[in-house]
Amino acid sequence: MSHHPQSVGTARGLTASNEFATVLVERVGDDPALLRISDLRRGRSVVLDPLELEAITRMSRDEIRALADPSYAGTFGQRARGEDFDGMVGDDEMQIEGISG
Amino acid sequence: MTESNEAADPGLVWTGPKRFRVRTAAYVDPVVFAREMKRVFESNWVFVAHESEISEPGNYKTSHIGLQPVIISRDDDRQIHVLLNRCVHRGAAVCREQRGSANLFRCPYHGWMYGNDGKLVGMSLAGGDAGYDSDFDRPEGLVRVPRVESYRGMVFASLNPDVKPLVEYLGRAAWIIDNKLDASPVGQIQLRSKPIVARYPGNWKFQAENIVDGYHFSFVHEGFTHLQRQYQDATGDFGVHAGNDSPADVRRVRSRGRNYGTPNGHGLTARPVADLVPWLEGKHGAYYRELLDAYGEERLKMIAGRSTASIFPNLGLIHHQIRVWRPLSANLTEVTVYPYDLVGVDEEINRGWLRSQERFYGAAGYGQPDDTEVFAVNQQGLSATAVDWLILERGLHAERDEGGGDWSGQPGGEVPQRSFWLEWMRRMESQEEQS
Amino acid sequence: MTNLVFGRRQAEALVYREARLLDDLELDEWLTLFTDDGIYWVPIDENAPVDESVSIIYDWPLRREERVRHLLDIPFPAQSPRSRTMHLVSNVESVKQESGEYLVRTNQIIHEIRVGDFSQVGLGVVNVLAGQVHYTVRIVNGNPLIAMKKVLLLNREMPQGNLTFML
Repeated sequence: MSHHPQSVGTARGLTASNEFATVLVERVGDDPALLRISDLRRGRSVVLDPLELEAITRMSRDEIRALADPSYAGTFGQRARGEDFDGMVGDDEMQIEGISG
Repeated sequence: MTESNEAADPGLVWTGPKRFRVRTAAYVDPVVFAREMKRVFESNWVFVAHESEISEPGNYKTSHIGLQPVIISRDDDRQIHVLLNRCVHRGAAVCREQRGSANLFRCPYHGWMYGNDGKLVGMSLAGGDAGYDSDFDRPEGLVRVPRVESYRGMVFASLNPDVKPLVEYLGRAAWIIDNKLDASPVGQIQLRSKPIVARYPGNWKFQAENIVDGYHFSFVHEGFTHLQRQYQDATGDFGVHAGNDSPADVRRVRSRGRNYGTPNGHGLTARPVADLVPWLEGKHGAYYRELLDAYGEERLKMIAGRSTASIFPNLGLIHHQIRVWRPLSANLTEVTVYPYDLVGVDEEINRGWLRSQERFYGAAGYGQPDDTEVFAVNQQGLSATAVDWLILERGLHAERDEGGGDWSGQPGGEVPQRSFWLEWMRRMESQEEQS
Repeated sequence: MTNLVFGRRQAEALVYREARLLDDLELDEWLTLFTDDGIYWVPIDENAPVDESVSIIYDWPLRREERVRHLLDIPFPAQSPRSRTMHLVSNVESVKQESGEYLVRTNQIIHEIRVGDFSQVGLGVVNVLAGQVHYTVRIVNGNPLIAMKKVLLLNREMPQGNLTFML
């Protein structure tokens, strides 16, 4: 039982939402093969084809967790690893821009 | 009253031959409150959820163990986890909704991510000179409440790893749970409705005492009895208080059966039906005949009768509802009433119970607002702290041993309340850590 | 069938009158504002099927009568002492429905206070409730009557205090 609306249909596609994230899943134009998944909070999206989506169905919960692991995925930018982070926007720069809380 | 004899300070609960009194401070003192959060709630079994609230993998809800906020989640393997709702990084609450569905939780402050089994999936932006060193002492995940056990779908959790097994803890209270749940021919309930939630400016123990208090009904609920006489079952469909249509009837119904005390502080009332014929041949006879086939005559007398429990420290069972009381401070309490459906019975029966319980227990209802009003009146009265004691000696002279540490008395007496206070005192005054 | 137009002005007359009757405890007259099948509903979860979800108030006609008798004729602790209330009604709109009934939408603020010894817990404190109140109004023999009064409190699924007065 859940009282939280988990997903709603929109004119464009299907939204899945909980208190942690909101994503939109929609077709890419009339293309029967492609689905675009968009992170509505951060504005990023990815287009996946059937084989890529099929691959997800074979993943274990642990593998999905590894995929979701935020350790080395730039929350503010592209996927990056280790030392690449030094190039990311840090506290100092955000303070300069006046957006750090 | 003042203590004239200084031989021994009786403490917060004064027991002795023909003596059972509770000190005012037990209800009003913030120091006592802080101690009971540790001794009564955090070292003990506490009811946190019913399994039907998180029936599917990925479902979660929030709850509390005393003042400790927790998340109750069901993982992919259907296992239930009870987790402290606090990011182990810098302390932010992880879940801000009361219920939802998620396989992953993400902290809103710095994006640390957890599985719904509590395991840390990863710290965001972990690498680099601003991140964590290679030998960082990585936490396992959200802090886990060490003991979680269910009895017939009722989920209890304990912050104390050494508590006794739940069934042993429940003792005779499990019999009351059985009486309630066996009102379903398949022995199951489902929480479908949003709950009724009330707050009152009074101590939490008033609710723990009152749910098994037969004595107050003829006074606090005199108006309801009057209303019931006028409208019978026409406004409550049927059932909730059927038979209570005159003060004499109230006394008759409430003096049948026994009240029980138990070694772990539960207070119970069990009033079997004397004659099953009105049930078997009444409006819902088919339902009761189905129960008769499922459980037999003696059990049905208990099931069709009234069973009520105050399960130490925070769970109440009465009619067809689960009630939870949550202490917020010495003089503020939240009460949540979850009306439940009986699985496998006519929709009409569940609907009737729902409307009837709404009529009595709702914030604009004809029963519970009077109870919570009286709890506030009690708290007001206890501001007269110059008076030392409250008196809980009804039926003390006529208690009966029931074996196994249980004892009983006549309904309308104060056996269930004494049962509560004896356990409360053991936990509050013991020198050793409790289990 | 009547040609009565039930616009904002007419809607205001009805809901202002209702507010006055509630605040003055003229509740027998309040009962006459409803149709014979009129429902008075204060939901906790307005989107759930009403048969499966407990409400703060779900009164069919006999229950509305019972509520009035309870409040007027029978002393009970939660109204001893009694509440005084003041309903403020605003943002009134009236829209005709396909059924021929009118949906009257209002915003309301209810101030409530229980008098008595104001030094005591729970007494002498002004409580404020706010919510949308929607009326379904049916024209019966030329008279606008309430077929449904639905009160959507802002805090409907939150902890409630004593709501044993007229909302």
